[in-house]
Amino acid sequence: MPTQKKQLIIFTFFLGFTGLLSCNKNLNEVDPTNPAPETVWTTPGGFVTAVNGAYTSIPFLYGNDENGLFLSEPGTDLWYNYDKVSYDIDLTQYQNFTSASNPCKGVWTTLYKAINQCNAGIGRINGAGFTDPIEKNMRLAELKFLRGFYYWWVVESFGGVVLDTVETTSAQLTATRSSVQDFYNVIISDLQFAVANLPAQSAASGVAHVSGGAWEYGRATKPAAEALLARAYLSRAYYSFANAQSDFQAAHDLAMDIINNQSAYNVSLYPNYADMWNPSNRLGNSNQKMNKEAIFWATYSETNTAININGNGDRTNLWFLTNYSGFNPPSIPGLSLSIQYGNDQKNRRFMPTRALLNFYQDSIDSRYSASFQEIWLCNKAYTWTSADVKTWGKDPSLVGHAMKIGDTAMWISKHVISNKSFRPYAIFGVDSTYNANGTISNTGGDHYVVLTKYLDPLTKSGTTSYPGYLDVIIFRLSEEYLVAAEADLGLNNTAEAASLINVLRTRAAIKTPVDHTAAMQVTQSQVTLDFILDERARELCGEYMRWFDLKRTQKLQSRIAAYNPDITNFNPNYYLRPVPLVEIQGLTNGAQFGQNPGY
Amino acid sequence: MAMAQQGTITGTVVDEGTGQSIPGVTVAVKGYPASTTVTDSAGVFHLRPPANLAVTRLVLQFSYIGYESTELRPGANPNSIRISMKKSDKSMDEVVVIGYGQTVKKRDLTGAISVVKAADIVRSPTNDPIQAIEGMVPGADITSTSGKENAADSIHIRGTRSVSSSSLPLYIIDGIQGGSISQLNPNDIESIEFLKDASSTAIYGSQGANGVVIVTTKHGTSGKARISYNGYMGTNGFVQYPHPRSGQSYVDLRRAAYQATGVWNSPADDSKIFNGPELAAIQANQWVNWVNLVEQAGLRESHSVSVAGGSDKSKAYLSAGFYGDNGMIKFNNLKQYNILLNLDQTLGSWIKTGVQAALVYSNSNTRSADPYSLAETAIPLGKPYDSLGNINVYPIAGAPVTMSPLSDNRGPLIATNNSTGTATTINAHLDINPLKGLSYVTRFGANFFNSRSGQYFDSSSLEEINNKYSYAAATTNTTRNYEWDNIVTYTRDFGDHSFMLTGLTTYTQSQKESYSASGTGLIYSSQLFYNLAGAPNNRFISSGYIQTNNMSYAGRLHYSYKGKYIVDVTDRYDGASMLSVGHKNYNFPSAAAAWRISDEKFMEDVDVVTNLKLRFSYGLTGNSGISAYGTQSYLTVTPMGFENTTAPAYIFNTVIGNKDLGWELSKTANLGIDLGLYKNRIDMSVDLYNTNTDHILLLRSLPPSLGVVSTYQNVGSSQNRGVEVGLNTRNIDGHNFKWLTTISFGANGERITKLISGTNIIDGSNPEMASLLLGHPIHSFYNYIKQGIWQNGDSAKAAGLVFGTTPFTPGMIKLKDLNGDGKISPDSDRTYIGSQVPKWTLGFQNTFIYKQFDLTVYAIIRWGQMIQDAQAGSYNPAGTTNAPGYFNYWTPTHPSNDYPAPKANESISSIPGYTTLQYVDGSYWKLKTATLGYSFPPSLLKKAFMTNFRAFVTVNNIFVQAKSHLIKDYDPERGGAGDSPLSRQIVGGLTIGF
Repeated sequence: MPTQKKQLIIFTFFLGFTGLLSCNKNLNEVDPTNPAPETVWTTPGGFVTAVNGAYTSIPFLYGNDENGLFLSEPGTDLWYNYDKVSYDIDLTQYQNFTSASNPCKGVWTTLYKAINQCNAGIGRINGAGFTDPIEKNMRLAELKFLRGFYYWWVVESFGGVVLDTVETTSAQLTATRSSVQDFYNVIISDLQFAVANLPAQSAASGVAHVSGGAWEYGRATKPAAEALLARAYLSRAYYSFANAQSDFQAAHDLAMDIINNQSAYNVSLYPNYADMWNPSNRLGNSNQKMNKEAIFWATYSETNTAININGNGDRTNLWFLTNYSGFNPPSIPGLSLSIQYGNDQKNRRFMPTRALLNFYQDSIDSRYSASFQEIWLCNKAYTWTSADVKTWGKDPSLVGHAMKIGDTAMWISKHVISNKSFRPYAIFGVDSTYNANGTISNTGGDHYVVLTKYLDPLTKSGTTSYPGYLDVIIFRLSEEYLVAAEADLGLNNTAEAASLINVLRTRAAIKTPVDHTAAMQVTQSQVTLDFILDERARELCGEYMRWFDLKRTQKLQSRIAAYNPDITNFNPNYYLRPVPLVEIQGLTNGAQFGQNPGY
Repeated sequence: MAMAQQGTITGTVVDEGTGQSIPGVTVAVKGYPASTTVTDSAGVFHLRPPANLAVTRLVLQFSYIGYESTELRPGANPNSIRISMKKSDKSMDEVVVIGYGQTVKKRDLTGAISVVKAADIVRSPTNDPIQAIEGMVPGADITSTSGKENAADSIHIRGTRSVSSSSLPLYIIDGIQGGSISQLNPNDIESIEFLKDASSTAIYGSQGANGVVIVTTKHGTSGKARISYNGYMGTNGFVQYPHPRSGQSYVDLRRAAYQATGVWNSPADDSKIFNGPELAAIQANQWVNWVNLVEQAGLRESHSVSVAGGSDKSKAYLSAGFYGDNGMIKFNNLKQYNILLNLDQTLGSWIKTGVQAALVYSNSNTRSADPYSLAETAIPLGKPYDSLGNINVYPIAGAPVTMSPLSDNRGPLIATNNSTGTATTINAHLDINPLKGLSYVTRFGANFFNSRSGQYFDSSSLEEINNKYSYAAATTNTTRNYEWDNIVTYTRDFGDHSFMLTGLTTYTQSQKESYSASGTGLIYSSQLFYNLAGAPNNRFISSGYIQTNNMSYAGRLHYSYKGKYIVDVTDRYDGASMLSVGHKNYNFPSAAAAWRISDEKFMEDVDVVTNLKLRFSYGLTGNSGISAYGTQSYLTVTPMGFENTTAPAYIFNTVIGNKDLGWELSKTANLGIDLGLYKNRIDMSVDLYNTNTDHILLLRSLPPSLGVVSTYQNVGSSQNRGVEVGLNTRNIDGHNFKWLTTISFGANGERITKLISGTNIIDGSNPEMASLLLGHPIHSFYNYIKQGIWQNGDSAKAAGLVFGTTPFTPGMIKLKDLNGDGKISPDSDRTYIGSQVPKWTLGFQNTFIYKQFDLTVYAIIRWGQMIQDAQAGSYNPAGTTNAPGYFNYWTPTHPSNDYPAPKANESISSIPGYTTLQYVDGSYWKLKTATLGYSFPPSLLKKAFMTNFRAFVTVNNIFVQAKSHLIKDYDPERGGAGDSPLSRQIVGGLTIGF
């Protein structure tokens, strides 16, 4: 017994202490879930995941999240906050505008997250093991294209703020400002590299030097880099530090290169402006480019929704709608919520200014009817009641009049409508939507003409669902005509400017029953900066760029004063967005870094 | 005859007061520990005295928990000894668990430890032991976080020191960490000790930085098997919750909103502000109080049966329990089953072993889209049910827009959110005593948790109100915790000096795995989440693995001189895998001393004082409280594609590594006095403490221009100082009537004393609630100071102040312009406005015993904290949705200082400074529980072969009164959230012992 006892005790002690000593080595961390960059980005195949990651902020800015649109369209001559709602009035009306603005913070964060990813990729590409220098340069060109793109957003929105070209490896709590000039030096040199090294077009297969041969539709291409570089030169040309003539010339030449090499770049204009906005021309396809005019775009997938960056898909379909389903009283006789007309119930954001509608000569310019909706057809059988006849101010003879599906149920017009009381449907003329001075009417502001460019009857799963899966186009061919024309104006070459604009106006002209092509032509003398901005509105309104156009041309103040009477609060400080409070307060030298003036 | 009697000594032990026999009393011969026995169920003992010792010379020792130990010489009649034992007042001999299986007598304690005993743990009708003892422990601030069936508790011991890590204390259940106390059956718990000061927790080193809670379950005792049943059953519901606006009050707000924009001027304009269906519903007087409809009277029940017994060498405790809660809203329910087995076996004179096995299974359903907050904000109009009694998903006829808060009441095929969990614990130890005074214990414990949560939401469910497609998801989590302790203890007395020396090693490992999958567009709702392959769209899968290891060595010396002067010295050397290489290990020393003044000669004549002890301790604790992998920079996979082609993408994790990250260190000094007066009729403990914490770990938001979101950093220092008082008094101690009072009071002052940048750290993503403000508690609120609402008479003054560039007008919130620049701006006019941390808390319990009746009434006060009131955020100035009816809003003719003016088309978030509306004084007092019980007298019980039979009625969450009128109908213990309010229970129950 005593021997046994001794043995057991010795054994137990031995077990205890040798075991524990070996446990002590176990304090190193093991994480099989999340790899380190050194594990993933050190082969050419793995490195593509860094490049792909750099694209993820594109859909955030264009459609997935509303912040990108809020920083690029409203607060201009084109859009009102619908029915004077107070939603994000800092960006739409320059009211309550402080550095705490959420959309500014959202965009800032989105941009710098992507820039860090680009910086990491650019800094690490030499360690990625590329053996084909051309393939390596193509991937590098993608990253530089994206960094240039994101930095263009940064500098145009926020001015000379943080310019960093190396990956963040530790918590750096101080920052210094770089000049706008420095920003453009980086942007332009990045984009020049991109132009020189990106393939001329995307393809599902057969692209030389790319393993697998696919340069997927939606990746950056040479014309995309040219379009962006043209936009960068054009933007820089207006700054006082710039050599305007050489910048205009460069912008002009890049835009003309795209215009002159359409087949090489696989872009062309649709014969009719309306085709451009046919939803099926924005429905992605892995094997062909679905939109002829598109040069660069944010892609969404309806068939493989798990690859969209989050469950929201593209929500631009929600943001330009009017109240047609009776969400707010009164309900419209004969109309109910439908996928075709969109979900108007929660996320209406923008109504056109009266000025925008008036930029169109709708009798000769097809772009008005291709861009805006005036007629809603009955989608719910209805018979006029005496109560509704009274509500809608109709003639008593209409009581009992039956409205069939497909009949007109609502007409909202940019014109004054006569004889309202005898027409058996709801009517909102321009005089009921807007006051005489163009401001939003107190009683009719909830019913306005709707921008239809982003309507999505194809991919939405239900009437109240938010996500759609149509592509959002960022650069398209017709803008290049306007870029070249604007550069021509800067170079005092208005003859070519007029002829370029006339290409678009010829396409836009209503051809039947009467051909208005001749009436649509403009002459050299008509080409002014304001005319080009009017034309850009007619061609490109709602396409995520108006604020940048007016900022570039220094026309925000004058055109708001002329065309957007609901903005009464503009001052020149608003040419820059505020540096988000979170940045200033996150920096230990925030005060020294400094806020943009006026915030 | 005489010879036989020579061999044994026989007798009976009875209670001095009642004359009842006491089973289980240990009877020993002084100086001969081998000669020991216990009394049987009739209180009778038979003891064989040591050979060659004359019966007349030996001394018998009688001891039993709760009674004063006593000695007796059998004298002339060793066969018919009758001894009565006296209940101990407040026994100084009670043992207190001090960690790693070791105990000391309460009289020898040097640290600040509070003990809660079994009777107090089962007082509230809940399955959660921690929730049950809310307010009873001085210095432990416990609140219920939600009224959900399986909600966690919030517990802070002596304030908050850490920011990033949870402030949860370390739970040790029967010697092993990693278990879940909320899954223990409260009936199985013998005691819960709260180790609060640095010296008490020092043996647990860094893991005890937030305090240690040691839970000891019941064990078998030798003697006849004792069977007991505890159970109750009753209703659950009757929530104290604000009622939404209805009728004229609702109409008035909408009218006021449109009057402000000039749309509404008289009732004739109602058609411009209500749509046709709404108007029709108003005209038909179809007002609905959705809150009433959402609520149901639930059923809460608990049944548990236990058997305890054993022989000298084997002891066992076995219990089985069931807890069921059918919640206050439909499809909120919980079923939990517990089994616990504790076995203790003496293998030989020098070796013992013990095994614990526990199994807990729970199954709960929780409503995902919370019906309460929906009911509070839904338009109060329409017909909730159709003519057949079915729920109208769109209650307002002709307006298929606003869904009924009852939509998910249609059944599990519309909305299911189910969780199951299985917890298995195996805990075994071997005790070896090779030499007198030397013991070696090796203990191995393992906890396994498997949980599965599954969701199914039909396209017509509230959860899918925006997407309108059916959704299913399932997640499984597996957690494995292992712990292995080796403890060597040597105890020795040299005359007046006694020593206890301990050395130990402990290794813990935790592994977590998770797998989850989801998808949308399921065709058959009956498949719920059991066939995710049936979800064709939006398929997401993910999985993960997390492992942490800790390895520690510790030693403790407990020394006592004459039982009057007591010293403890402890040191622990800790290593944690979560910290950076080179910073993984740290040493945590502490020391404590106590002086039992009442044992001194000069106190002998002071009859008033029964007990007086002075304690002091000082020590260092640490906290590695960051999540695993927090020091490393990793990539994470993110969905990405080009058109319909997948494009795998890896982006940076939002957290960037910090290679210099080290331990968070707290130095705590504790000064305590234990005082017993009038034979301990007044028994009091007072503790004063001061904790200075340095190198506070913060998951710090970074300037977004870095492209990453946050990093762990050692950012600063904080101080917690406070006072704790525990007071037990026997106000009346008569034979038939007793009145006992227990008070626990804690006041804690917490402030951040230093931050690395020298200025406040304003959090990027949540500045209002997550910022660190110098001079204020860690969980403080940072916002504008609301001074009221701008009134008509002040319009000129209001216009002199701008928000951005927009001037203020009457009806807007009056914000304080801190820097006086005439401009309210988020960077210079937000400041500290309050904190979640209460200034003080008080638990106040009175027990009245009259003959067989007992009544306990328990109240809590929690004072000086601020809450974020989510309901304040539901105020909708456009009047289109709903909010609590008592919200007093400003109009030109009805001045108010509570809520700003209504205005059509405006959302609350566009009102300058609106966030400040949500921060409200959350002070309250609460009548928490009352229990009335009746115990059947022993004479009756004997006939029924029972030892104990008590029937009781308990009411829980009886009444709460908030200080602020802004939350007057709300229970602020909920912490501000609008969902899952705390419910009331009324239960009746039985406790039976055989």
